[in-house]
Parts: sequence; C-alpha cells; structure tokens
Amino acid sequence: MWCVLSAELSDPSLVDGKVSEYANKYNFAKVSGIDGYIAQTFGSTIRSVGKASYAAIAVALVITILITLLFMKMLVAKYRYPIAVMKALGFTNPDIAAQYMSRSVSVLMIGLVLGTLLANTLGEMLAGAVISSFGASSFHFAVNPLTSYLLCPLMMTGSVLIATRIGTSGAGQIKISESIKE
Amino acid sequence: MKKIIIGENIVKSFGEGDEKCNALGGVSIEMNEGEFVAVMGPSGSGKTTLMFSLSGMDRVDDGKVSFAGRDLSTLREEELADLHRTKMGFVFQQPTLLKNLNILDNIILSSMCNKRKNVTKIIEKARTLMKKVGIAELEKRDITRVSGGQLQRAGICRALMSDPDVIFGDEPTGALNSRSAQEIMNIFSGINAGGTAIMLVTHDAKVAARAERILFMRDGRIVSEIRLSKFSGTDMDDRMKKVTARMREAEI
Repeated sequence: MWCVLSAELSDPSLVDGKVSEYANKYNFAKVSGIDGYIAQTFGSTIRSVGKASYAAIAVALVITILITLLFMKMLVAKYRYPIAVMKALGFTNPDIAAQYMSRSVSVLMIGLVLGTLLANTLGEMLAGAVISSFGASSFHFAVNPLTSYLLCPLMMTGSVLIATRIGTSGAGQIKISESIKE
Repeated sequence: MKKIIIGENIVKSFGEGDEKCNALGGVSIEMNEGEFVAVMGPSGSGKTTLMFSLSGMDRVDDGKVSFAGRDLSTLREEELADLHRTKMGFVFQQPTLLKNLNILDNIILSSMCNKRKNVTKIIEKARTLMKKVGIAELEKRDITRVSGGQLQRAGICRALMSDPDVIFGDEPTGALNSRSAQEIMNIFSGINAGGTAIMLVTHDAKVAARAERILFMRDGRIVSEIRLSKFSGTDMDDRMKKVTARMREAEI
C-alpha cells in the first residue's frame, strides 16, 4: 500500500536539500520535489503536449502562407482587368500591392481576434477532450501572454505579409495593353 | 506649334518564333499640342498598338517615343505612372470603371493616389466635370445601373480629372449607339476646343472626320494621312466625303 504525503516548505529554495535529507532518513519512502513529481508522473504527456503545440504553430504558419498565397494568386487572376485599369490610371505596382496588403491584414486582424477568443473558450474544451484520452482527468491551457498575444500574432502577420507580397507579384506582370486591348 | 508627342521609327511585335507578329513596323509620327488626331485602319493594322506605344503603356521594341520632351523608354515605372496620372487621360471602348465603386468614386480614383491631395477640391472638380458632360445626377449611382453612354461620360470625366495634355481614346464610341456616340464626340470636340490634344483610334469615319488630322494604317504602317480644318460643327458632310475618298484610295 502506498500513500502520498505532501509537505509545503515556507522557503522553496530549501526543496532540493530537504528532498536529499528525507530520502536519506526514510529509505523506505520515495521522496521527490513537486517539479520532479510532475515530471515523473506527467512528463511524457507534458512533453507530447509541448511538441504538439510547436507542431501546431508550424502547421498553422504553413497553412496561413499557403492559403494566403492561393487567395492572392486567385484574386490577381480574377481582377486582372481592374488591375490593368488602375495601372493605366497611374497606379504603380507597389500601390496595387499595398491595396492587397491592406485587405490581407484586415482579414488577418479579424482572424486573430476570433482565433484568440475561440482558443480561450472552445479551444480549451476541445483540447481537454483530446488530452483526457491520454489519461489526464482535467486540462487547462497555461497561457503564456507573450507568446499567445504577441509572438504568435506577429509570426502570423509576418507570414501573411510575405505571402501577400509573393502572391501579388503577378500584378506587376500584368501588361496594360494585353489586358485592356479591345 | 510645339510637339507634345514624337514617335520615331517605332517597332513593336508580339509573340516569339513562328508565332511572332509584327504589330508596328517602323512608324514615325508627331503630334502637336492641342491637336486632334484620329487613327483609322482595319482590325490588326496596329492602330491600338500605336496608341499604347505612344502613351507608354507598351514599351517599344525599337525606335523612340518622346512625350513633352521626355524619352519614355528611359523612365522608371513610377515616373511613367506619374506621367499617366498627371499628363495623359485614357478613354477605352468598354467602360473600364471599377464595379465596387460608384460613379463619383471611379472618377476621383486616380486623383486620390496623389499624396498631396485636397479631397474637397477633387470632389468639387469631379462634380463640375460631371455637370459638364451631363451626368451630375449620377454621382452616387452604382455603375451597373447606368447606360453605356453614361459610363463613357464618366470615363471621360475620369480622364479629365488631371487636366491632361493629351487624351488617348481607343474606340471610345465603339460600344455605343449612334446618338450616344454623337454626344460623346461632341464632348471630345469641346475638350479639344479647350486646348487639350486628343488622339482617337477608330473604325468609324464619322468619328474620325471630327479630327484635324487622320492617319490611315495598314499592316503596322501609316499608309496615308489627311489634314482637315478644325471641326466647326457644320461641315460634317464635306469632311466625310474627304475621309471616305481617302479611305478608298488607301484601300481601308
């Protein structure tokens, strides 16, 4: 029979010393710090979740780039004629690219706000359901504000801008004469 | 009279290898400030390509095009765009207005990309022009809810927004009925009377007969030319006779 006894130290810096001391004193018992206890009990699950979160970031960025590229190429092909008209009126390729950039960023901003709201509501519920199949009874997102609200949005914004720039480069190839000629 | 456009030995071709098509085979042309020039010729004669080459919308393969003393081949994209925006106006056969903008927004569109713009003045000017061409009541109208003639008038307003030195028209009456076409041509004649040079590409002898000078093109070359007096509004029959006679001579 096992039983678990928990002890909280008033000075957390003494944890390592006390663990060694109790381990020497009570040979029959398994003594470990809370960090060690969590690592031993849920270590593989935590590592899996960590890897999954990095993989999710990478996949999200790749999907973001692919979708943005696809849409931009499609929009440039679809709006070939208006683009040619705008060029004839004196708009430069950077002017036209800037217009598409502003559209991309507007959609991205809506996506980021919605994504953040959903991740903090539905996301936790859905991820909890998946994680519970690994054996954890309950699951909560430990949100790192710097990563969640700054680094990830910045990475996504950067990816979208780069993809938009590449996707709209085709607008520069559109020749006014070929697109407007009657 | 000062030359506004000088084209020297312009060569332009499309395609490559066996599919190469020589659209212009060494065309030279000069156009004076305030002149009204019409270019006529059968389909494929190179008249539209000539217009695009002279306006800098197409880079020429060989030869030289100067606009107001500036060699177009040496201009960077931004300089050329600036020239298109400030010195040239374009009117095309099809209403080249943007569908997601109303008539007024379409007219002021190119003026709005000027960084030192005064929006109030731009809108005021657009309204004055709209009144001048008879579409004052349509400023908030969606472009899908106006006639072809009204769209073309809006296109002319847009072309006039920058007080251009030259207006280039590619079959501007080609998609209109005869009444609308005549009204549009009256507008063009009025613009020219105000000192703006006009170059029109057309199949229609009646449209060309309004011009002071008509160039006849065939197979990428100017094969004939006729000079007429300024259009007075009453000498159309006489002008038409001269134009059609020259068309027969030039086999156009």
